[in-house]
Amino acid sequence: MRKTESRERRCGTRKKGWLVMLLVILLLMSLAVSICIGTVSVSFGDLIHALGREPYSMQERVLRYVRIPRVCGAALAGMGLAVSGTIIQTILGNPLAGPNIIGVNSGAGFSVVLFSALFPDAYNGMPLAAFAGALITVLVVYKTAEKTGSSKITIVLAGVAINSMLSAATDVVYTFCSESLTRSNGFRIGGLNGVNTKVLIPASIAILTAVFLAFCLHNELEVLSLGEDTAHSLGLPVRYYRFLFLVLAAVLAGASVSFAGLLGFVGLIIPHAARILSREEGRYQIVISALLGAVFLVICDLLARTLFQPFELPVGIVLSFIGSPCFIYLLFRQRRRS
Amino acid sequence: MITYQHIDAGYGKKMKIRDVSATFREGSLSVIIGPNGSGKSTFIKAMMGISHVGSGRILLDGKELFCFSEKERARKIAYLPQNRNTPSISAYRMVLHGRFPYLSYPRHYSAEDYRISMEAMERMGVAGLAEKPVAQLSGGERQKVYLAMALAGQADHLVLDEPSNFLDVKYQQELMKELKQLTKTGKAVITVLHDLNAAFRYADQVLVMDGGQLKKAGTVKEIYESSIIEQVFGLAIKKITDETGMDYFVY
Repeated sequence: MRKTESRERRCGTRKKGWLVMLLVILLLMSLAVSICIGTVSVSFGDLIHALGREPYSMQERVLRYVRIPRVCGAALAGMGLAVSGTIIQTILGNPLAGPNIIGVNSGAGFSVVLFSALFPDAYNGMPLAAFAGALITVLVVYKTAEKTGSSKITIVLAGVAINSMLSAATDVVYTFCSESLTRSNGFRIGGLNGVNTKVLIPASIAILTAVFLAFCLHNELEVLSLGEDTAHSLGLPVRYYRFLFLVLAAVLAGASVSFAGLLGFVGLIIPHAARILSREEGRYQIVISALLGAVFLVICDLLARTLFQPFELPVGIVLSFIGSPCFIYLLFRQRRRS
Repeated sequence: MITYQHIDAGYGKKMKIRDVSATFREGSLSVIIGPNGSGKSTFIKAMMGISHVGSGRILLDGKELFCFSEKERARKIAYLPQNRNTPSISAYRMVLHGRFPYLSYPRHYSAEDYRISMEAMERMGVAGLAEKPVAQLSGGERQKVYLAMALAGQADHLVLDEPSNFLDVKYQQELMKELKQLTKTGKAVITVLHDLNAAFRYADQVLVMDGGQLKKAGTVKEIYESSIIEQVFGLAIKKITDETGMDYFVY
């Protein structure tokens, strides 16, 4: 009996291993395709060539300074928002709580808009501003939910209230600083045109570090999801870890928002899909959401760039068009399951 | 062994229980009864470090409880809270987290952790549900999985807060028999119960709480012979012995 059980378990692990491999391959393929296709198309050979030496031709420059940062930005933002969503959903014990739903994205967004209005040239500070905004919002939502009884619906309602307050505050900044309006139009819907390496590099370090940490701490995250008292009884310093995870979620969402704008839905649907694919196992759930989020956003960005070539849609629009039906499908699926 | 010495405990500055002294020994089943809001949960949460101890001492195996680190305490006392989340993980993963107090670097559960968890599941008769998500289990199955998690930690003390809530009569019986069985393996089992009949049938020690105070603690016989149940619950309790010698308590 025990033998069959452990064999089943091993089989399950192997299957998930294959799934992770498949997603890695899918990510690499979507990155390569996405880099090659666009208003200026290049062959795969040119891409290899351009990576090796100083860029001379126009194509090579487009690749190096526009396309590659943009596609990497898409992958990183997808990864960051998806993992942030997974953490937030687990900590709050609420499958409805994505970083955009509970207002973490808009917190980061408001902070970035305010920061860029006050210090228009300080690119390097943007990820930090986004992180601060995200962290303050996540803590406010968490504390509100805790004080008011932290039922699942309370958290979402608190988030909705904070969301609308923050977007009003963002509008105030827009109204008074018309220069930031031009820069931030794509920012509100979420767009990756004009991803800047100056912002991308610090943001990518933050995202990759936070994803790695979340992966290392998956057991702690799962124990927290058992409920506060149970986690405490198992010897986990609950307050400390909960705060740490909320900081990680804020780093991930903040860093992503700092260069990709207010992308919705990635942080909500990818954790759902990852939960289904990983069969509810924490370690795989984080890896799978990271990879799936990256693949999803890279593909959405590719569509945004190429569907109406040479015109370009902000990726946030494509995301909402694809994301909303996917989410509704997941809701139906969940209903059937229960 | 866990000893309470003149414990005041509560949440924040508000103390819900006052001057409680009690002893829980290995190999004995202690049942805490009392009306709603009498401080039963606060009482057991004090030894878990969840409710705040204002004054008094709690000794765990003769040493002050706060001398133990959180993980050390978790290896000695397993706790099943009344309010529990339904996490989105499989039953096996959940039982495995019973081994969390033993987790150290590298941060993986070892083959031994897997083996002990599976043994705990087999003992509770839920090994067949290992791969199922916890959310899809019935109330009774979930309770057994939780109990398997508590057993996987191999703690000497098992503390349960109203474990028979949401269980049907058959499961309630099974659960009490299982708890009694566990005391035979040398564990100290401490549980809060609402069901007076079950309390009197299985307990080695009964503790009666009311208004934040421990009114009386003693063997079933001592409690039965005193008038404390009538005072606290406003009910008369009567023992009926059937032809097999089994005692039933009616009120």
